[in-house]
Amino acid sequence: MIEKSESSWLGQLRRGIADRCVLALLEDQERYGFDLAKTLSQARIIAGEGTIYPLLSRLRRDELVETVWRESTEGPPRRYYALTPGGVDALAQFRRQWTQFTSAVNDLIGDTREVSSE
Amino acid sequence: MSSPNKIDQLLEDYVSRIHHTLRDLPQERRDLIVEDIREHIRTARAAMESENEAQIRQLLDDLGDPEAIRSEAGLPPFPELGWGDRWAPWLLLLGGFVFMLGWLAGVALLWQSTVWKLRDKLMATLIWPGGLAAVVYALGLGILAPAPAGITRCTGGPGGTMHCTRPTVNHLLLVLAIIAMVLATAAPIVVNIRLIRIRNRFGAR
Repeated sequence: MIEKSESSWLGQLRRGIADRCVLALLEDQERYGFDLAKTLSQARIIAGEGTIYPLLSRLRRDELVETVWRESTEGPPRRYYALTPGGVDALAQFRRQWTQFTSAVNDLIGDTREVSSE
Repeated sequence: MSSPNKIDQLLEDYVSRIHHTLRDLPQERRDLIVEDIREHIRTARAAMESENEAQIRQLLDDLGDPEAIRSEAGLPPFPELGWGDRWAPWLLLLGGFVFMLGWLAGVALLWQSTVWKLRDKLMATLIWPGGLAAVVYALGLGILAPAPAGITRCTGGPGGTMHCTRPTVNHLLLVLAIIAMVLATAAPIVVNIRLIRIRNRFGAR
């Protein structure tokens, strides 16, 4: 679980990029909800594992992901999530923007700190 | 030692809270989310070697507060129940006895409330305008009462004679009228109970 005391900007940032992280997780393979929930909560991107499901529902509505039924070795068939072509594009776009964004922020904060601490 | 019933109850409570929490989401999206969460629970339980209540509580804790799931679905936080939500059903039912003003106040409170959906609001307004008082007034005016049997129809015959007949009381009509009376009285009461049920479910959490 993510502590409540953490700064709100970090929480907002996490919420803002959680759905893009889902797209990234689906890039190479289809996954089912439980798997996505555990992975993202271990990476501390989402707090409650249950919040992955409305998020997936939104991605599905926006046609960035789709659901497929797959037989599972244990129990009944499972609903898997997969990227749509639109999702692939959205992920590529996010990668570009994220790289630009982080390098811009790094430029602003990283170097200044190093200089002033010397 | 926790019984399987207790565990089923915990899980069922949680899922129904989610279902209820997402009630203003389009049906299809809501069903998918609830189904996904059921599947999540199934998967997690299948991985448990011996499940006990503490593990189930941990599982639900990891899934998180239904309110957080609601918020992630893009829905605004639950509105608080206001006094209007408490009083509207009763004003609709009984307010008509206070010169209709009580009923009108009930309608105003009903329509500005977010507790009830359009269908319930329409139903509560139309059954009946004036509430229970309307039934009483209608009975008083004889609208619903069986038609009096004493109306005599006369026709003039040849040579100035009058031929008069008294219609016989139609028993079937009488029975139908009584049934109609009972239904007319019961209808607003049923609507009142429905409004209160919906409200209590709404405000339960």
